Amino acid sequence: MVLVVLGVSLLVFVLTRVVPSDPVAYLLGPRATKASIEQVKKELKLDLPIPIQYIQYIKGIFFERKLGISLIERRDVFDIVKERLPATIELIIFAMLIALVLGIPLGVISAIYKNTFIDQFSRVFTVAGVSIPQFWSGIMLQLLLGYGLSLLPLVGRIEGIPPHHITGLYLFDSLITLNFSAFFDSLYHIILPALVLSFSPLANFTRMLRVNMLDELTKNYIVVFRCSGISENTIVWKYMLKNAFSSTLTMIGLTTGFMLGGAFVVEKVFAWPGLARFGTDAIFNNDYNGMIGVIITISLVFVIINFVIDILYTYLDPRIKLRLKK
Amino acid sequence: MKQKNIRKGSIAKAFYRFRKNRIALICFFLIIFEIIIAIFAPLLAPYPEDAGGKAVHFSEQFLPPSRDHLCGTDEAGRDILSRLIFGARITFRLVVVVLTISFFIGVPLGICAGYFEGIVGQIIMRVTDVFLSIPALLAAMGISAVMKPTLENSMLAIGFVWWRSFCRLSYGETLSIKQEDFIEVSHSLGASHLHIMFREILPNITSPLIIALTLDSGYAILLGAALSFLGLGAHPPTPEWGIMVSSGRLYLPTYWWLSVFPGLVIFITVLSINLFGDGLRDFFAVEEE
Repeated sequence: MVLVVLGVSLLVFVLTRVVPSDPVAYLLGPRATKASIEQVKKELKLDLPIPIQYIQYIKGIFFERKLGISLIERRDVFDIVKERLPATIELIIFAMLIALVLGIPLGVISAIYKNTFIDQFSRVFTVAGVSIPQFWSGIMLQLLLGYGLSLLPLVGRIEGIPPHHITGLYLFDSLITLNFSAFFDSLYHIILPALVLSFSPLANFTRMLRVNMLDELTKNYIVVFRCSGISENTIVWKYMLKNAFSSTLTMIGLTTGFMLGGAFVVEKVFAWPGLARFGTDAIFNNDYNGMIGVIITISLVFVIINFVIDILYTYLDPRIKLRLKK
Repeated sequence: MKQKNIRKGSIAKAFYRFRKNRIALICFFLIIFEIIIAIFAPLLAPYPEDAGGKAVHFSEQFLPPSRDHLCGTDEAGRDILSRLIFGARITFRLVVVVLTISFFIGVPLGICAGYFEGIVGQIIMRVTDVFLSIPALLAAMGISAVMKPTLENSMLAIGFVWWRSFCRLSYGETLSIKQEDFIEVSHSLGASHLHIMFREILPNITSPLIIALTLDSGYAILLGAALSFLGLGAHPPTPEWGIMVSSGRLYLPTYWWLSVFPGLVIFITVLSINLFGDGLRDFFAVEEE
């Protein structure tokens, strides 16, 4: 994990430092004198050789929890990440929940009713889910549910006062402080962006689960269970699903990467105040420290999630543990 | 001569089998249709002068879809249908550029890594892992921004990001092909590494690569459109589909046709590519059986 962070940071660092464009000149505007540019560079330690800059940067991450000063917000990127990451995480968790809650039954049902109308419908639905551009589906939902029917708010994360800060996840914080007005307020706001973000993962889960369930159906234990008189529902939802789901789990890991990327688009469409939005601003304004910080954080989140999933995997599929022991 | 005949026969058979998959066939013709439209855009577009940025007709601003303007007009009075037709050219150019770059970086690296499993393979795959740990859109955004955001740079950026998926795929395929007997035979016949990698292994992994090329062209379109939407690709008034959605967003909900049609075109294009790719996958799966 540390290796990935080092690799990613090195990659981005080299990328941003080698290019000819000068962020400080950009920041100070066209009227800045050469002397003032040099001075700001010295303050930001941009005048040192690149390898030394990199070593200092890495030292800063591990020992001082610093990611460098953001040029657009004029404070350390670490603080910005701390403030904004929960919003993005909340969005992704919620989207993932939607995808799982809808995707599992859909995948199971289309496997049971293979080649029927339901299966065809779910097939078209899943292909459509991965083909739709997120920014467009976002705008269409805004148009339909926001402008047209006035059911849900168009943009933002919360209208009233945010709940007391504990984790930064509004839904969670408001629930444990029993602040129900804030809970429903943020719930209304999160539905649309999370729904848009969940389309593609939902499609992937459904598809993957369908294939895995069909695979399970051919196995002998199903016949044994049926002969022992266990009800079909128990077989499908308790035994088959558990086996089929463990291979779907890897998909979740891969999908998070996709969702973290998608967050950049969704947060822009819905003006969601998350880390991805800051990342877009940073990239636009040549704020290299901000950009590097965001990229490292997002990759780290991605790697951690995959790590957790690997652990869950061994829990769901004990064969892996046995193989490791051998 | 005989060899040729066999080949011809299998292609005919393949086409016959493919024909039975109605949806994939329709999608295939839809894609061909779009490519033809893109090639003959200046002849087919009802108002070809509206595609560029210079045309401004303020008297025809924000006209709703009608018989004269099937998809309506935009904020500068330009015909949206004509712009969509010219946008197809940009989209297909993007697909070609992205897939060429990523294919020629990713596939040789992947085959190398799979073939020389030792240190070389380890290094290549660890670098790929680093690239894989940054979400594709984010990486493309970063590269595109650093290189100055233009349409051409966004194409290059996506290409430089996308190679990792080809690398991963050809690595895995090479690992399994390497176990086959015929590789051993060519080794003992004294074939060089290069010969084995590109004359023996590569032809045997073409079917997964073709499927990946098809499906990835859909993702490349989505990624390119998303980059433009975020402002890191084409700039207005280029008739690129993503940028058309994003500039039309300002005039919602009254002038809905500005955003709805370009997005719909992206959706239909990517959908038909994906359904076609699905059909292709089923087809190759049957062939292997």
